[in-house]
Amino acid sequence: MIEELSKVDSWRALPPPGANLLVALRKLPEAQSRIALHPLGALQISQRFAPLDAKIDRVGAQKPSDGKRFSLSAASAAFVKRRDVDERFAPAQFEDLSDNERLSRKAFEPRHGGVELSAAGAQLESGAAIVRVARYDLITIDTNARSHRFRFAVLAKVFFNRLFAGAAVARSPLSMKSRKTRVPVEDGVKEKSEGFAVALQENNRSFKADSAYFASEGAAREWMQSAVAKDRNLADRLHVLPHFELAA
Amino acid sequence: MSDALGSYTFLPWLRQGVARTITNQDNDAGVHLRATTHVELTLDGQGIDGSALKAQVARDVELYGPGEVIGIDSRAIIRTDPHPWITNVEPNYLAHIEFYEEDFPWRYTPAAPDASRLRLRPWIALVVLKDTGDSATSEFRDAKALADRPLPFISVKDFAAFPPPNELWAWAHVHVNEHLGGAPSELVAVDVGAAVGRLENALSGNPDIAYSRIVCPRRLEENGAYHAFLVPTFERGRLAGLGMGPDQAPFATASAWVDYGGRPEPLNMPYYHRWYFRTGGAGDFESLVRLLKWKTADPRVGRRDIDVQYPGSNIEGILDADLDGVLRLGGALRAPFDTLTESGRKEFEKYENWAKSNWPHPFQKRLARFINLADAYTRVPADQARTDAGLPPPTEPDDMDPLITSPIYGEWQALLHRLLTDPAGAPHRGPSRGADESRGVARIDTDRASRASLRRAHRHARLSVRLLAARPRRLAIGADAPQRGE
Repeated sequence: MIEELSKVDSWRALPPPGANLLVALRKLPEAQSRIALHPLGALQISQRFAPLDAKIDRVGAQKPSDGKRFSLSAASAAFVKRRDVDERFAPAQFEDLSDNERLSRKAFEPRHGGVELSAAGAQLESGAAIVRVARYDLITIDTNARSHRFRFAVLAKVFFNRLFAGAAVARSPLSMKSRKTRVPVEDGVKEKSEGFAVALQENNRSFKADSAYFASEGAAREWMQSAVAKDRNLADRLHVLPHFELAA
Repeated sequence: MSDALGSYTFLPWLRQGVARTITNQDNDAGVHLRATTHVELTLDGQGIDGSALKAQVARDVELYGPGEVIGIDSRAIIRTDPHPWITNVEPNYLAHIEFYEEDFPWRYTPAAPDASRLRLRPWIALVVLKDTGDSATSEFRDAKALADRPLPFISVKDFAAFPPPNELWAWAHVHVNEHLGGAPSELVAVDVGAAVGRLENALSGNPDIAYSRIVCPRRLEENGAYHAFLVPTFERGRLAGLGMGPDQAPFATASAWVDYGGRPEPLNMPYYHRWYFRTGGAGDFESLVRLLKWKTADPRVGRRDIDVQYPGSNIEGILDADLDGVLRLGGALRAPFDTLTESGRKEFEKYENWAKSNWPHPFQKRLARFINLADAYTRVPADQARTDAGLPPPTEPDDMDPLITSPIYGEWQALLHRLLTDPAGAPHRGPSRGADESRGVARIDTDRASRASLRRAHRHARLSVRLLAARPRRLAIGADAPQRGE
């Protein structure tokens, strides 16, 4: 597993999600480009050797000699795990399945293969900050030809902000203002992959709040097995369902 | 001072994402290619016998730097000051360029901020070079674009006009249109961590409140032509822009305009963006405002005498002896009444209230008769309408064409088709009104309506007088109208 994670091919630098880089980047040689990371991007480390966060009964035809369960986490303080990366694993390669299960389970299931790291802590950083109240010179000349200078006339924030509505930044094609003009609605269609749930056999309701959604059948089964291991009485009461069959 | 005042916050630099993990110092000759960041992973395992297993996986990850950038999207730039092709720029201002992304000028800098955490060199710089129109005295010349060059470039005479590389940190900042301090009085000693947190919150609500700016420190001369260029700060950026391998640079943070042994094409400089402007003479808005001098307005300001003796259109003019044949047309700006002398005030009152004492003035009646012709033509034959209005017959006896009349301004808004009409004969009131058993009620209505109608009529008559008087020659005149001076 360590060997697999240490391979250059297991490390991938991802561009920033959904963001336009606003620069043209030089094409790097393949070896460099795999691990050259964009400053706003994320780092993905994943392997397809064996699933993580899952019980490994076997690897192909062999029994594992050292461990039966692995998980990956960020050790450097500067990085934090953003999410798990799913890879496609064949359940029959890692789980002891009966012939019946082999036929009924999918050939490949998404299971955790690695992690995606991004910079830890607050996303912005700076060294200092200075505030200035926007003040203006106000000069009044009265009818006796005397000039009165009122230094530092100030604007109320509401009026001040109102003036920014037509500022250069608001007129930029990237600005929120012009984006809202183009797409005034905020809702949209969100896709979600099919999931699995551990439910009660008697009414198909989710057994517990944290058993309502699993990305793969294998993960759901594993959760069910661990629940049964704690309480034998549950053995005949729980089953794994596709998420959409769950009773509300 | 309350929080509700318009305030700006300035940050000397801003970094985002993985760029914050860079630890290499600026001008570190040991970092040859790119800034790196160290990533360590822990692999936890559960042994066959239930024991805990632990292993580390580590790798240095390189970050994209200026040597990888070969172009900037023009949308990233929200404003340049001066605007391109402005030819009378105030020379006491400094040229600058603004970017929509708040961290853009520091995003690819392959170094960490200095020990004080106040200074971080941006990876792009703004330079302004003089163009005299003569290649011998201009500070640069355009180089020929070649196919294998990713960026256009110029050939610079020498780099004396470029800002010193070690001062570039001072010429870029983040501009936020919000008060990011904790308390309203917190202006200088702002808690940076908290301020940046507030910035992050504010940006998630409205990303348009902050932007970054790079200023060119060059003092501009009066009446000069300049080209501004957005150029790479680091030698790796320069080499990448010229289409050469950036790895030839001596180290990652080497300056793009400091010479070193074997520097390829030493005077060529690629640019990501350019624009042109000319400076004018001295005198920005502030200096012009300060030149304003106080002066009493002349009583004639904003009033114009107009000759009303011959308004045309077959209408006799105003021939009142005390008005001397003129009325005064008021403008939007005029000398304040209080500044006038006693005689000036009397004069003003005389012309302002020329028709007040004898309203409606005979001229207003004549004008109303003329204007009412338009409505009369829709009801009776043209010659009868003319006779009813008391207008002279046409010069040709068989000319039965109607006169060309003036429309009533705001006729349909006011629903008023005739001016100064006798209430009894008003067209919008039926002749049977007031003749039935509810006579009392009808009379009150009639009185009220006639007062409103008169007020409106007065207003419109005055308007029409002004219209007629202001543009006497452009008015359509009937064929039989006597011309001025006849």
